[in-house]
Amino acid sequence: MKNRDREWVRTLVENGDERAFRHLYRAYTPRLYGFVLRVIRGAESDAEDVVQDTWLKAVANLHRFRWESSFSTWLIGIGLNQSREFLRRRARLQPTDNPVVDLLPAPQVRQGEPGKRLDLERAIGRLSDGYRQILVMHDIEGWTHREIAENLGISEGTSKSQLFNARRQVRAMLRPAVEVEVLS
Amino acid sequence: MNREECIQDREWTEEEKRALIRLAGERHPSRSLEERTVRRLRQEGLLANRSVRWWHAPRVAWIGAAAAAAGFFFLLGVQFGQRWGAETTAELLTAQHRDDIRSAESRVQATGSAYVEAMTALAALASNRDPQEMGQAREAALSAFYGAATQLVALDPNDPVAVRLLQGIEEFDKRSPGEKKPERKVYWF
Repeated sequence: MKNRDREWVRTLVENGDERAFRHLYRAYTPRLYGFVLRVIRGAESDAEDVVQDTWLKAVANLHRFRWESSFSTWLIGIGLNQSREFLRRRARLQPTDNPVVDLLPAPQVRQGEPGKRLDLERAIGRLSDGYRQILVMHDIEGWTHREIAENLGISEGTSKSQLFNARRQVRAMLRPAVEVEVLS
Repeated sequence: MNREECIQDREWTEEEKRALIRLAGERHPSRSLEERTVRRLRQEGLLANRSVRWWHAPRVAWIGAAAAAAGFFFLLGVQFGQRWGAETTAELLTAQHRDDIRSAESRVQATGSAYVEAMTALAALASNRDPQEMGQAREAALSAFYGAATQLVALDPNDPVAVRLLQGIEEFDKRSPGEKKPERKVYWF
């Protein structure tokens, strides 16, 4: 697969070949789209716009790609930046997330529905943008803290502490209501 | 780090890890996203050639291609039909020719038989002194000659030998007054 990727990338860079692009698009878009959808926690139409912007950026900068990482990792990195740009635009239009509020279980759980848990994906979706990005990149996409730090422009230590906080919040949301009442 | 944080500061459980792995599965956007993205790339000049897949061709092109294909297959069918028909006709003509040849061969054989009949009759004439028998033999020989000449004329109306034989025999028949004109029939066996 890697050799084929190199060939398609080369053809796309040298000739602007549409068929080469379509091969790469079909191979990598499903994973890219899933990642973007999870990071921006938005509507599918928003995620598709971000995916489109990602490909535009990727094709425009393909000549700079040096194969120091896999094509997938490189593409997801561009997808992450486009997702963060989208979140910044959305934050300007909507109130910012309150991390303190996110520590509390969902209202329906606190209202005493014994044994009721949020499923994992919904819990991750309820995280703040920053926590969610790091948890998705590390625990779902399998990035290392070094890669996360490079892409987000933060230190590895910050990446680790953010991940710690993100996991704690998810576990709090996944705890059933009975447990929450006992602890409080 | 307090105890609570220590408890929380742990890797995911196996069940949680499996749940996270399931989340990493692919998701598929709408089918139109690919075309929209390709259009945007073309607009930005990032895709050089418009290598349209043949199945993406517009409807008019499809109709044109279908009409051209239909015309091609029609002409191909005509060619094949003509060739097949010609071959069949050729076979028929060949069969007819073969029949003509067989017919001709049978005529030649009949002619040969008539010739042998005539020779046999003449041989009988030469060795027979009885006038009546000689007359009968002569008539038989002439009839055989007549039959042979008739066959030859059928093969080639302008054959000089056949024509003279027929003329000679018919002339002879006219010069025999008082004699009952013989019936020149030959029966082939």
